[in-house]
Amino acid sequence: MTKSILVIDDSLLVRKQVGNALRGLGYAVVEAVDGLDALEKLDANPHVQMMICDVNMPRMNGIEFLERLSARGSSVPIVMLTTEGEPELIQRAKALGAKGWLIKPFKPEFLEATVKKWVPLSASA
Amino acid sequence: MLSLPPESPAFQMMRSHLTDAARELFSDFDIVVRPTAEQSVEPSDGDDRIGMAVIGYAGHGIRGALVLRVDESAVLTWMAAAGVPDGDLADTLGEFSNMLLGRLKARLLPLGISILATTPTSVVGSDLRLSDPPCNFTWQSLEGPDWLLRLRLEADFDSGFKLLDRRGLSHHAQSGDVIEFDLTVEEDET
Repeated sequence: MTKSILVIDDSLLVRKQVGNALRGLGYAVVEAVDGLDALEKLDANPHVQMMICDVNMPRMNGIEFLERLSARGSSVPIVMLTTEGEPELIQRAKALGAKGWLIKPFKPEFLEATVKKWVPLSASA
Repeated sequence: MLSLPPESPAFQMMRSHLTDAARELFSDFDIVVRPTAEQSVEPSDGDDRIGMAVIGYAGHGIRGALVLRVDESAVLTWMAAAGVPDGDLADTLGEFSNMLLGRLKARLLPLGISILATTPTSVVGSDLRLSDPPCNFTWQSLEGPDWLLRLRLEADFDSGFKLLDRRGLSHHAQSGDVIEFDLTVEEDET
């Protein structure tokens, strides 16, 4: 079964950038436009094995989404992909269980290495 | 509230960092831009399609917005450079404004200016006009391979606003940085 990754970003450009990169590696991609949408997509796609999430988003931002995941006891790894770089914000995400923090614009090779660490392709090959 | 004039050191410093932030951002997409002397914004020809993005920011003692104004054709080249030629023009413009303000934020933090950004609002169309804001603002232009990007920086400062030296404090993450929190990967049970 193809491994699925949920990409959460209000920007279509970023969703397409990340989605194209991940599909090229052999992953299936589910997209969400903000934290609220992501909660719905998670419920509808319980097989999602990793999430890549923006921080600044309308309706529910990435930090609020992390808080909701933490309250749910989610164990799905999540890495933040954002223009934000403030140490306090990064520490907040870490405390809420995020596994990493990537600054936009991302380097494809770094995204690939991060994703493959948490969702190895070899296990499904 | 005190509106520092555009020639104030704080405003000029922000303007200078914005120029450098824009050069860095486009460099990441292998696009070379350089500042031009042109600072005014002529009303566009009614037939020209242009894009504008506005992203607000606020922090302790400061608030304002960043406006990007560029021809539609330029945004098409940005989408291609980002590897998403079939993207949405307004969305792309908004994301570039977001990335640009993010870089400016990183440059301002060592000076004691910590700002939070709004989500961007953008529009693409013809005969778009932008009113002057009720605060300090300056336009600056950056020339790309075959396009001109105009940036309007708006800023108001509270009375008593001061620049600080926080260069010795915690490091602000930069574009392209990867920060790993947890190296422990659980065994895959599938």
